[in-house]
Amino acid sequence: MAKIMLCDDSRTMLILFERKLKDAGHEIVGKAADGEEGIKLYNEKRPELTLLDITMPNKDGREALQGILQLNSSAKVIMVSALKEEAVINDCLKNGAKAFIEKNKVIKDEDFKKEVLSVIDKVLKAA
Amino acid sequence: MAISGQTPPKDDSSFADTIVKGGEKYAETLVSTLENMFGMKLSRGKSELIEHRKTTGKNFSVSILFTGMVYGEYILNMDEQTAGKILGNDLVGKSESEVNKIRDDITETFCEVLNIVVGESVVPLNQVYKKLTITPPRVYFGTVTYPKVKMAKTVLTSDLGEIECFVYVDRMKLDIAASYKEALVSVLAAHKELQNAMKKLQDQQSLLVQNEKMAALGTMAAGVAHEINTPLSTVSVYNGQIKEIVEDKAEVDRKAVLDLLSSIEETIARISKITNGMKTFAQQARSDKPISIQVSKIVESAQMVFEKALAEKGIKFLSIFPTDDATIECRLSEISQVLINLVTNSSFATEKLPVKWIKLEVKNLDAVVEFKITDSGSGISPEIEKKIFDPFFTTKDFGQGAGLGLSISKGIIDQHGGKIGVDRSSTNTCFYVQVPKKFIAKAA
Repeated sequence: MAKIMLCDDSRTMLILFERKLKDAGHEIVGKAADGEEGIKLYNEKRPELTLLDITMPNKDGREALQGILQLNSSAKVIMVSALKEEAVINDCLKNGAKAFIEKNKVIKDEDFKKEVLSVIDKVLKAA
Repeated sequence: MAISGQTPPKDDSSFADTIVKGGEKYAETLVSTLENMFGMKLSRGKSELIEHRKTTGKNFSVSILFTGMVYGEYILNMDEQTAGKILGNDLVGKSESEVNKIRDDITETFCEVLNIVVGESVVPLNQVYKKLTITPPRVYFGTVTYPKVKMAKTVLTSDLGEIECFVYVDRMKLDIAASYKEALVSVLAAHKELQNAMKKLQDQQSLLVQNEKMAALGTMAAGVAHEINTPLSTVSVYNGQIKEIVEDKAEVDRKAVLDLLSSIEETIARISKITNGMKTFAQQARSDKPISIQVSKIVESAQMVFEKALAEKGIKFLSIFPTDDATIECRLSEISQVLINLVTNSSFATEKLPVKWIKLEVKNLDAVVEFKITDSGSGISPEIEKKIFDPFFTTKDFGQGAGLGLSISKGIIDQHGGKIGVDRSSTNTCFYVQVPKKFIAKAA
């Protein structure tokens, strides 16, 4: 359905996202382990959607968001994090992120459908 | 599934039951987590108790240890090929670097899996054994052997391979807790016994100190008796002379009688002075309050006690005073006692020597007054010097002293904030005592 890029320093999260998004019919066009690699990979693959972890080495999610938006101001980026700090989330949303996903909703299939896939669909459908 | 009971099981069979239930909860959580995360289809076997040494049959293990009231481990065991397949990676036919990358994925992912699973399955166990602490996961490639412990084993089967899950709980920690309690009880009992023994020793020591004081009093009484007896016999002689004059002669030589009478009067005044001095001394001994007193008075009060004994032993006594007689604040009876003790010790040491003398020298220093008691002896060996102020240390013959004199003296001088010791610069035996001029009470 959509070409998606993943950016997370946790291999487990990359594996989980890849498997579950593939099951839902999406295509994973690239996986990056930190923000710097994420920006490069975005430039290379130009995915329809990027899932971006907030806490990462080198450049963190907020910096990567900035870098991606500089490459493409209409890029669709969803922030993913275990952090529930509203200030950080609001900061990302204010700076161009389309939505926010909590990491603990990724594990259970039921949560994934309700809280992750629906958010992705909504962002993809938006103009 | 809940583990029945909130208190740790006491007997072996209910302990085993707790472990098996812990194993069931662990396997159940693992199944649902693996299904959720990787879409696996797993069937869970029956959890069974094993009590023998166990070597894992598979070559990849992740484990999380927990410790607290008990010690134990959650173990996840499978072949690395199975683990790889779960993550969508077959290890077969891969290059070494690819295999290593897959191993990294396996390591990180199954550590995460076990963290999630243990976080949930330890909850009921934590209700039985409070305050369990969980360590970060450890990974082993290859087989692992576990010692003989009570362990629950559950086998999960899937088309990707078999997964074994083990959980064991070791009550060794509990036993340590029990032993600790026992040890504490015995330590407390020993402490109590020691306290009693200490109390007994303190009682005995104060009794000995009291005895020593009584002995000092005896010496003092003898000295005082001598002091009074001498003028009394003078009075008696004068009295006889007056009797002779009055009885034998018709014409009484009034002048001679008056002279004798005034001599008697003088002698009585001397006795009176001695008894007054004794009174001050005795009052001091009772009141225990420091008074301001001239140093010469202290020496006089002490000298009165040991003078006779020295004379009887043929020991020459010499005292040297500074021209300015200092005044110090002290407990008179105590400082006198120290001087008496030191001179008495010197008298025991010198009585058998060919040359017998004792010198008491007083020096008026800045903030202290120094008393130096030197005798004709040739000093004290360093070995003896080390122990000389220890209670019950004596070089005297049996029955001549308990060996408390110097230790009591040290106690007195310490309480006065002063110093007492052996003057090693002297070629003769020499002790010094320094007493601050201003009394500052120190704790006993």
